[in-house]
Amino acid sequence: MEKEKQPLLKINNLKTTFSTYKGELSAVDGVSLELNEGEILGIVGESGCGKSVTAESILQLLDENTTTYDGEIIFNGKNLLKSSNRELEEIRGNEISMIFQDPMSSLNPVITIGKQIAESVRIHQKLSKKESMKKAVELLRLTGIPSPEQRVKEYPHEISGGMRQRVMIAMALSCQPKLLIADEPTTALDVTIQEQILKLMLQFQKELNMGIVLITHDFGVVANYCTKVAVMYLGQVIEETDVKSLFSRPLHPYTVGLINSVPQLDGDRSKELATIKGVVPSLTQIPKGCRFAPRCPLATEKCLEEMPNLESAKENHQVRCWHYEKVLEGELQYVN
Amino acid sequence: MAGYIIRRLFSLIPVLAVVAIVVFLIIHITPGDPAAMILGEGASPEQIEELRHEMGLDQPIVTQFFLWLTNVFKGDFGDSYFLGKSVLQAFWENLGPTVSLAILAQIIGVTLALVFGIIAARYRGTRLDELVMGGSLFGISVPSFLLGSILILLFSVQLKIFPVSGYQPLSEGLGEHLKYLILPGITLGIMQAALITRMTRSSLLDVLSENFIKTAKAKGLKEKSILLGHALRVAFLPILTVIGESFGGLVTGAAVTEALFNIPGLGQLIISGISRRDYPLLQGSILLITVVYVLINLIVDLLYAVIDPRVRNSYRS
Repeated sequence: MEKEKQPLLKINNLKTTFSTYKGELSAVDGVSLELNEGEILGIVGESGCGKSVTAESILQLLDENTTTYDGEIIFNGKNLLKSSNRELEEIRGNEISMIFQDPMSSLNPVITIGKQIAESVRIHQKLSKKESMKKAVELLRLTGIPSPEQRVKEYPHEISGGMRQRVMIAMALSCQPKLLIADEPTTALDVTIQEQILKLMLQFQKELNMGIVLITHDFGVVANYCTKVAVMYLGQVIEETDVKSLFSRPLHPYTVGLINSVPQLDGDRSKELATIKGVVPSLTQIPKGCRFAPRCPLATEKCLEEMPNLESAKENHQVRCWHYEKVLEGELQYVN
Repeated sequence: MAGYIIRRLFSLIPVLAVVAIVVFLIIHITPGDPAAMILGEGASPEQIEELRHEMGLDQPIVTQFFLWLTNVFKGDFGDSYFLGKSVLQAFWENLGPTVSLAILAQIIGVTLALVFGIIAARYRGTRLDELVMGGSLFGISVPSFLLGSILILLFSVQLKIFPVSGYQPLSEGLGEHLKYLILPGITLGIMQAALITRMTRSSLLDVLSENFIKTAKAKGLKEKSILLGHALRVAFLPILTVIGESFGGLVTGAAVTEALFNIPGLGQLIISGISRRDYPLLQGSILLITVVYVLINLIVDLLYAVIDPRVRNSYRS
């Protein structure tokens, strides 16, 4: 029998806690995820559900004075949470890269874009200044920026948002990473540019056989680009499966609500758009039982008292809900 | 860029006009009569009146003002009543020691401030941070005459390393020049450092929470490169403003320290001018100090453009 292949990234029971003046806030609470080479894992959820914190925990980018991590993040067989600063510095930008949400503020305003790209090449590949600048021009060309020789001398405020995100991509891919973490890479961009940027990422993903963790709140993006999905709510994964299963039969009432709330182009216009009532509670007021219970249409006494575990409902389909069978039986309307 | 400088120099004109009028008025309205000062206590009222007439002080104040202003436009600031030389010459002679002292104090101040400010920002919230902040509070609060006296007591009287007071111009050699300036330089430098340290810390902390710092970290940069290569360059703009302002303050107002160490600088010149009601000297030096102050500000603004490409662009348009 063939030995099972080791996943590229395996997150085991990750807990990320911030110590603030309000006390300890648990932003990510027991998240476990797995990603193989060449796969794209989508993480979806509302704002404040812990998507970004999960992503930034992988590279430990959060403020080290106030953040504590617990659990395991195993990348290529190595536990990143047990790695030294120096080991992390060698992995960051080299084997694991990250693209951020807001290209406006994610580039240093007083350094030319050429230097910013060349910098990542230089530190990881021990190239000279001149060679790394040449590489920066090449990388920019690959991302489809016209006349890159000129562009490298420009500053971030002199180029458009889409262009800046291409610069971020060039920077992230400069060392051909095995894993790319993209935290809402297109949220701040025009719709027309969004598609171009995602296609660009996909093209590099195929060439390099990268794994991608794609954080988004756009189900359209998930359906078109991802291999599997994890839905997060208030610091926990509440449903995880492959993309096909998720859209054909979501099992968690929250997921159903999220997908129902996406407007359909050919939908019935006389009907009101479905919404999830209420808002995500703050981290200081985490509900005792199921975290979604206060907003859930199917919630019962049990849901308010006891927290369900993430368990296999079907093959390759995990859900954290006491009543997913009711969802399966069609008690919740699913419009897709 | 040249256009920007020219525009800025033109905007100097109204500033100087206002300063000229206000200074002239305040000096002439203040009680006290230079003629009486010159003649001494034994002079009769007739003698004083005669001298007032000779000096033109009996004319209406508007006439006096325009007479003075016309001469200033010709480059003639008049002669000091007491020093026996022209105002320009006296100003020029006293500018040297003040600028020397200001530069030395600012070098000491900025060096200390950057080192401690960066340390405080890097170790924010720790004991080290508290220590640096406490020290800077001390530096801001302690009066310069006290700090200066302690330094004199320690280094001049006890250890006999530096002279107690006095001044030697640069023409006597750099070593000799610095020997006299080092204690007043440290006195003023520590006070400057206290202010700039706080600015460095808070500006750095602001910048360190920016997204591009996360990008730099995600690239795999070492903490030192993030702090010095990425954060400090952006954080330096507000720091530069404070440096410029405090340097202006040093050039124009280190009178107490100058007096304590007996340095013949602008502070001394103006204080003696005030106590003797030396009208031409006061009017002239205050106007010239204003020019120096505004020029320092202009230089700071131009330095912004060197550091920040966004500012550079706005100057071009």
